[in-house]
Amino acid sequence: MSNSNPLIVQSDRTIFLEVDNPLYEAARNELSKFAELEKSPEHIHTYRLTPVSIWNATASGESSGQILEILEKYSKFSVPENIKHEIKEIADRYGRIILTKSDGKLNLSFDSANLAIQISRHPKVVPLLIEQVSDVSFLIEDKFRGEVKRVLTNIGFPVKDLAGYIKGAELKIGLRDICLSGEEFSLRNYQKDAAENFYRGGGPEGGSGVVVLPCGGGKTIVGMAAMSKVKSQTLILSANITALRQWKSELVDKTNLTPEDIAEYSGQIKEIAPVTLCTYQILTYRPDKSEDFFPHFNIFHKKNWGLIIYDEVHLLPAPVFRITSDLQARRRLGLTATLVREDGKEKEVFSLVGPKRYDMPWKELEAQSWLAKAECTEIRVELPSSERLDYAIEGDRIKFRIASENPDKLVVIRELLKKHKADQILIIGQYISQLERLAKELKAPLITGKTSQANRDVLYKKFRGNKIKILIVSKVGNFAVDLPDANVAIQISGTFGSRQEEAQRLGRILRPKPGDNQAHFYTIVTHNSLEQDFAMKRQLFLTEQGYSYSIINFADNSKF
Amino acid sequence: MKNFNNKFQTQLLSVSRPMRKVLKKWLTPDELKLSYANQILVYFEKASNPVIQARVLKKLSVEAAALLKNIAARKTNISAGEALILTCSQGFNVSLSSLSELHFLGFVFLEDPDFWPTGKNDWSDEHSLQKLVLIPDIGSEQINVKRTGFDLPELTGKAGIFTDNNFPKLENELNDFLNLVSRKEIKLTGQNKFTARTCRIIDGKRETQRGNFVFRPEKLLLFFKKSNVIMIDSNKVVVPGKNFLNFRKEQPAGQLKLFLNYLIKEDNKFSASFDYSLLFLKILIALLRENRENKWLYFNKVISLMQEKSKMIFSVQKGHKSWNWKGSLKNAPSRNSIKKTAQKFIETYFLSFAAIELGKTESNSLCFRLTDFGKYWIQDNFMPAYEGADHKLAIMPDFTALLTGSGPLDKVSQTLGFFGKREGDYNASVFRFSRECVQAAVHHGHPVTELLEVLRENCSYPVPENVIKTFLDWGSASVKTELFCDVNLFSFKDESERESYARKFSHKPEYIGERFAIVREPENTVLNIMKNINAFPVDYSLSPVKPLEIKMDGEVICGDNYDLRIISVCNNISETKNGKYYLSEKVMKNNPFPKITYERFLKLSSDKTSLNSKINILIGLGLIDEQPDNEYYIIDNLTPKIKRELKKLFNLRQVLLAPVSKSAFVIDKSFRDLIDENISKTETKLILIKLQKII
Repeated sequence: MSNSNPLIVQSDRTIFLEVDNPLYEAARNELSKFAELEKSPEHIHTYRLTPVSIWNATASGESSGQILEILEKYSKFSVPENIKHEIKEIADRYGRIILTKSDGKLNLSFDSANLAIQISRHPKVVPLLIEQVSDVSFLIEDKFRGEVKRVLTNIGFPVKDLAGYIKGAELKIGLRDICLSGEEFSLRNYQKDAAENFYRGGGPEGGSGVVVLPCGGGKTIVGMAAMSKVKSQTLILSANITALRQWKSELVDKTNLTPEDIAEYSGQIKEIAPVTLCTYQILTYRPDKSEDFFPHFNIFHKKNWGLIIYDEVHLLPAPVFRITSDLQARRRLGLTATLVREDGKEKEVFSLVGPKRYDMPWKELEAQSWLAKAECTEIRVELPSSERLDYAIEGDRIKFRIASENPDKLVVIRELLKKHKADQILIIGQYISQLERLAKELKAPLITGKTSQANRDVLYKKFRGNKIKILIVSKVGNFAVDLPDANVAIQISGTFGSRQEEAQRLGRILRPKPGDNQAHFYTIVTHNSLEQDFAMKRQLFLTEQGYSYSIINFADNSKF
Repeated sequence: MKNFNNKFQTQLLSVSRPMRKVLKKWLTPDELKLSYANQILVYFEKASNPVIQARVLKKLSVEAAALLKNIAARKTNISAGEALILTCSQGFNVSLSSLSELHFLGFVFLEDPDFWPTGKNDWSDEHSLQKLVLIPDIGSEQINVKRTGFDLPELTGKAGIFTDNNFPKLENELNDFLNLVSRKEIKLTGQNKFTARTCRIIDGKRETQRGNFVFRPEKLLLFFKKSNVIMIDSNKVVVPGKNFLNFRKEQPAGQLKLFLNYLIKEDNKFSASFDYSLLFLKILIALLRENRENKWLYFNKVISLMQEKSKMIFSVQKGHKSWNWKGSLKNAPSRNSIKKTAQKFIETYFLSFAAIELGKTESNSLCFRLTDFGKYWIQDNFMPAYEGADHKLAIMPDFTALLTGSGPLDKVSQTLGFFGKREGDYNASVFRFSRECVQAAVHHGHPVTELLEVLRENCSYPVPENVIKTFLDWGSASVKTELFCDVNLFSFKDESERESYARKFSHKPEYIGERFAIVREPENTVLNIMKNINAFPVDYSLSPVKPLEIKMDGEVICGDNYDLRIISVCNNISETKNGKYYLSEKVMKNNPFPKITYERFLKLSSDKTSLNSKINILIGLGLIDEQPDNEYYIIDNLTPKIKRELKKLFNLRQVLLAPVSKSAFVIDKSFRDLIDENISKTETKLILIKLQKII
């Protein structure tokens, strides 16, 4: 403990880290093992200790003593007593219960007879145990492997799963040195590390877990690297069809798989191949909403999958957790840009998909030029006087819409288009009528939910090939659309301050750019309106992430 | 002969015991031969003569004189017990003998003669509560007593500070409480207790601070209420009072001093039984006040001193035999109990307010001395400024500020607390700023520049640009926006009419556009003026007095020309021709919010508006497509039951194109037959409209 240290530990489990401190980097590397990065603005980053973050660390081999030692070593002031106590209490619980397999049977063993009595009598655990083998161990059925882990994690005793995995049907998959497209290809160091941290030499300690990389950090590549290590048939689950098709084109481009090796299982096509790509939407489809029957869950048993990849694991729908619970014998890789789930189901991800295996903050990638530098600007535009009366007398919902569809935003958009003549520009909005008007005014193509997949593919291709410079997209463009050349995004309307939407939209322009590697993210909002209040939430999110954020009043600066 | 003190004079006359020995101090032998009533009158006369007073005063012991001085200073508004405690805590060895001496010399008497010293009666709690009667015309300035003070139980050797003060920062508590008041988050129940929600909010605030609070938040409420810092409105919401801003602008140390003085006074009123604890508290404060060099004071020696004083106060060693009490020591506290009481005081009023620091001597004995705040509070020293204290402040672009190493009673922390919510207060204080907090601070007299100045002067990093802009924006919006309850919006036929009526108001109206004016007058005045000028009020929570009407030729009749809602719809669907409004395709086409306009039109239009007019408007606004054959089908009287039936057959949303009333909709005619089949035996009807264009 010394005043020149970079950490401040608070009693409410937050930890502040001074970025300008000479010990910043060392402290950050240590801290990220057991605390979640919550905010990373320019000078002081905020981390949070949670049970899951501590268990993630203990799953990687850190002990409570080591965690405390790190905190004491880098802390400016004394570490609060309650924090010391909580870390010890929480961390020491990991590994007290171990799941192993011997003679084909799953064995749940405890480090003490007292704990065995305490846990085995818990009403949620009782139905999962078959028989008591000794004072400290119980037999459980294979089908309850996931459920046991989920229940025990929820009651505060995470299970160390050393029961191993089934091999799965073999698939000879390797990464190319030269892509089909002709470009050279190799894994970046952090991608290699991420894949290795997941696989861990094929032993029972690895093989399941989550890799956290920012948008544009190459999560698909990490997925492919993991596949090349596991070398077995793989089921890939993702958020939407566009993302699936990008997986497919990446797999064909960068691995030795042929298009015939890869199948799509979606609303449109239902095929199965050694590598099958499937959407969460089709998995959770129910013919009768009142019944709990998911006909497409049988995809998990149609092949002897050796690996299941959960893309955008933070969006994993609740029913998929249930089926995942039955798939604990198969290797599982979660890919995400954030472990924070809006529904708070982080513990489910931890127990059923696995602990965090790798985490790389976007700032690091930006510093290494793997991500474009993003500059966020909020442009405030006045509501025309003709709309003010309408705005004033309406309820909040319509007020928000009137402000979002402010016709004077068009003037700002035109100015921005002039400024970024040479750039590839995405215009993103919420309201179809607004986007349609805009598309008509700017004579630019528009992609909405109604646009057929074939048309979308054509437009995305044209945009990637620089044949069109401006593309207008509705919220369908929020997710997993790889448009590497887009370097300007203009959002003209959005939902009520969703942080996830903001991250996804920004993610569209973060792929590294040639030249100055600079991307621009503009948000146009109506000044002094409800929309500005909601934009505040977006502003907070972006600044918490550490992006530079400036505000311009269009009335004062009608030229940029 | 004149009367001096009617009541007391009568009492002396009726007293059964002999007063000769008392009167002898004032009267000559000749005067003592007078009748008893006359002796009393002469005594009163002489006792009010300064020369004679001075002569008798010389006979008083130092302790009795000090006691008399205190009684004279408070006139009759002091009880015997309080007078003894007060004098004792000034360092005098005052005792019951001193009070009996005052009786014997005829300066002071207990109010009730039954309690007077007789040489046989014991001192009791009732004696302590007796008010004192002073002979008239004696002022405290006439009594010269040299204050002896205490022999300070100070330490000569070295001591080291051994405690890190682990109490919450009370200046934050005061600040946070007032911030809650400014945001109207404190509410009371009918019994003037905090509501459950308020308790949760306050507890939540308290949880962010380390250590335990030594007083309940109700104390703060009472203090602020008594000081007029807050008041309680008719809805039982605690709102700022007339001294709110003045109190907030006070330095944190000044605020704490006021609160601490209040707390001590309220907690330690002289109670029914002789209150030793009040004596000990006063001794403690007196010792600290006299310790001008601020040396370490031995705790144990302080306790010994208190014990000695508590015993001495009931001593009857001196004094005249028949004019004294027998004394009573049976209630004198033990050393242990004195120690506990002293410890409690030290913790409650001194340590928790960071007024003293504790130390330990080389022999491990406890000692204490004042801190800077303590000196400011007790010795009236200047409070050293903490502006340049060793703190580190960072304001982040997400509107949170982090303050570390802030000195006690730091002005920076106080200012941040005005404008932001304190969220954590352990190793670092965390403040979160929001529009509501900043505007509440601005509303209560703190300009946003005050915050920006503190940030600019104290931040270790540059203040982010978005933070400055947003704070200024919030600050300016707050200044501009002021809610007046008695504000009314008037619309006039034209500018000249507005001008002619403007002078009827006592305040000049604010003009908006060509026809509108905002008038700041109480509602009754406004209604009277409206009556005089034959105007009528529009209540937007009701349906329009006269609705909007569309005539067969497309003319739009604004039934109520003063209803802004009608004017707005009219402007969005029509244009003027020859002074009349007609539906206009051009205006409707350029309408950016066609759906909103149509919904409002439906609400405001009269029942007489034809289906033909409504379909014309729907087409004009682009909400339904124009049919080449001009035929439109409307499903009328669509009941929920039919709706459910139809929903099973197709996606009803896609079929119902637009409403024309609450239960009638224009439908997609490709579903005509299917609908017809399903409603044939019901009251729901399908109507065919042949469009006649009026736009």
